[in-house]
Amino acid sequence: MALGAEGEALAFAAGNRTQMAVSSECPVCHTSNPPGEIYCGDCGFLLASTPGAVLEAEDAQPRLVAADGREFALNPGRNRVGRIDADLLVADPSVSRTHAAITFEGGHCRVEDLGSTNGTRVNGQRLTPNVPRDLADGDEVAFGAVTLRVVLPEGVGLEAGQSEGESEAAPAAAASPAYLVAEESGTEYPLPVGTTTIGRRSANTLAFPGDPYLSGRHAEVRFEDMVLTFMDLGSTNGSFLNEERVPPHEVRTLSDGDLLVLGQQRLRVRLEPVIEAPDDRC
Amino acid sequence: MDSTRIFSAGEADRTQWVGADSDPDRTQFAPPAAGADLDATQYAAPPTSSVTLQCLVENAYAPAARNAPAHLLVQVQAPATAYGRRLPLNLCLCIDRSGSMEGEPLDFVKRACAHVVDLLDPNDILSIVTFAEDIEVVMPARRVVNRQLIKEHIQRIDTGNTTNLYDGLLTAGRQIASVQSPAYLNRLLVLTDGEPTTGIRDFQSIVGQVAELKGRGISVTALGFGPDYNEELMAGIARRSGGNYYFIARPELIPEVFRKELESLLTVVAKSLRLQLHLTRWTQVRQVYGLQPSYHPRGVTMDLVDLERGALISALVEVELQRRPAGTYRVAQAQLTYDDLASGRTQQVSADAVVEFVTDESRLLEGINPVVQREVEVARASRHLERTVMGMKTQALSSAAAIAELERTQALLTAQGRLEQAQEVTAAIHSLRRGDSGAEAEKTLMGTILDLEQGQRKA
Repeated sequence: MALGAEGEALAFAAGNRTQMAVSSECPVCHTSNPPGEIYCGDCGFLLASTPGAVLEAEDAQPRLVAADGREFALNPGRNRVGRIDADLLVADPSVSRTHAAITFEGGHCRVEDLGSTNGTRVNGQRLTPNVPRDLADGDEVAFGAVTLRVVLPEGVGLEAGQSEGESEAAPAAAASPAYLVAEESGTEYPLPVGTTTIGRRSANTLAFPGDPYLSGRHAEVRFEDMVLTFMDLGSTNGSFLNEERVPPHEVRTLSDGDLLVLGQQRLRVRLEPVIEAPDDRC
Repeated sequence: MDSTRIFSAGEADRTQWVGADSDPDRTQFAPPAAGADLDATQYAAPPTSSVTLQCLVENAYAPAARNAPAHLLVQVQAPATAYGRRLPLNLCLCIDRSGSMEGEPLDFVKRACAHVVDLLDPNDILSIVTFAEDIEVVMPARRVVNRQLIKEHIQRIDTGNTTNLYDGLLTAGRQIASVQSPAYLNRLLVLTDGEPTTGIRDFQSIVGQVAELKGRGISVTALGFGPDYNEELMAGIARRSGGNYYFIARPELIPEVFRKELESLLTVVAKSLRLQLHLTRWTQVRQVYGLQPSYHPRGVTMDLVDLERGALISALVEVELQRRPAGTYRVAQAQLTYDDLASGRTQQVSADAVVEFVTDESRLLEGINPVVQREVEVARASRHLERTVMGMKTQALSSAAAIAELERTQALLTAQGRLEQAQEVTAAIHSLRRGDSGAEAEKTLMGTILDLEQGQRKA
């Protein structure tokens, strides 16, 4: 009431009228925009509208940044890094199709090379394939010839090994009770619900590119309704379940402790008993 | 109010040609229909070819609470009718005259070249270069005035022995560059029937040289003749320079392919198309399909092929939309600069991709854009085809398996209305069924893949 027409206009400028000859501040990212702009020049928000609930911490997004400024966001859980069909697509010929995985959960961030051709390096140090390594803010990760800088929000990756950030909901994939465990290295490959293909080619869910005795698409494991089944896909050197050859395209049910031999890979089946209640505590 | 709306639509139209500083937001208005907008601004405007740009999103809605990938489809639509006269060509025919071309092939090439001479007019510039172990400039870059004399020169082309493709391209590029001016549409047509055997022969050097030509505004169309040329090299040349690629199975088809290429050149309405996608905060590029992009901190740039009259070029990009407060956002802005051949000016158009970020994810089902989804399917078919061809080359796929894969691709392309490409795949299936070793099918399919990647659908 006490406000004159002008004051009123100013008061509403940010919310309603973009045509006003005053610059408008974006309600989302607080960038000041020149008059007449329809969308915020920085975040693209429609300036004439009102944003929904503001998220708690906007910069809490862990990401990798390339030398040319290109950013790769990391999602909670497992991020596959590769040249094709990956979560984190790095389109460079020196990057393998399935190159590495970055896991971001429970307050830390880990990188693991998945048997790539040109390898993965952290701060210049080459990683052993399939052995995860913790990442800290500012680390340089190189996939083949592409080097990316790790940007982590505060409180992530500082105390690796100590699981503190339990508020971060663990992704469903990690809760899978079925695994294949490599006999030699002890590496665990969780089997998600659905089909997991095994083979030499990197397009497989479980790829062993370094094993020449494995066929490109060798076999598949299906995990449905808590039942784990196995099928050879017509591989050259065959698949062996507990030292016995499985004829191609014949379905076998797997139980805990079974041994699968595919090419040079000796994989032990681990099926954990199901516990219904999610135990997030301790 | 109605009058206000018309006025702003007129303004929107005007901003399209003023240049870089124009308000990018306003191009969202539909392009004014001819005659509907007899605004004063229309008279003041120079003639433009009215290339239109759209930036479509896979889904009008995106989840606000989590990161999600989405596809953006940028479509460049050329006008269906030509404005003014066509731009003169600066064309070089670069012909393989190695020993294997002797007889019928060279006779048909000569006939094809003579036909090109007939199709050009005195404003066009033509040069003819032939290569064997050494390079011969049959005709230096000149206006097409004395047609009879040029044809006599063409008749004198004789075969040599080996194939020096690199130096042939080098000389041909110099001929075009000798009269280079923005007033011409430059094109180099190279025809070969074999692997390079003399001079610099490796893929990287040859394609690198073509890239350099592209940098000087020269596109190269690669014509592969017969069963023995290197289709990866030829398709690579076309891909790198934004030219076309043709597989010519039999000598009598050579004149037809020359005619087809020339006709498409004569209908080019815009050249030097450069598409920039500016991304706003919380949006990142995941991948660009088919094209060779260069990345920047907040965006990506791609070069597109020359735009033909009535044609539609699609560029498909996958982005990641990060979580953010709910609301409506412009997630990307597409900006196209091109040399408009009707007005002779560099023009710019832009378009916004707008997404509403919602908390209620059930709404995602309502926002699906079928046009974008179809293009995503086509891009997948293209990748699948690429893998099939790779499997055929490395003999990882048997002939029967390759046919099965190709039939799947063929069905997909047919379902998405890509009939021309579907037919090419059918042709490849037929040649495999006839017991072809795969060489012919691979040569056809390289062209199909390139067409799908370049994304131009002709009128």
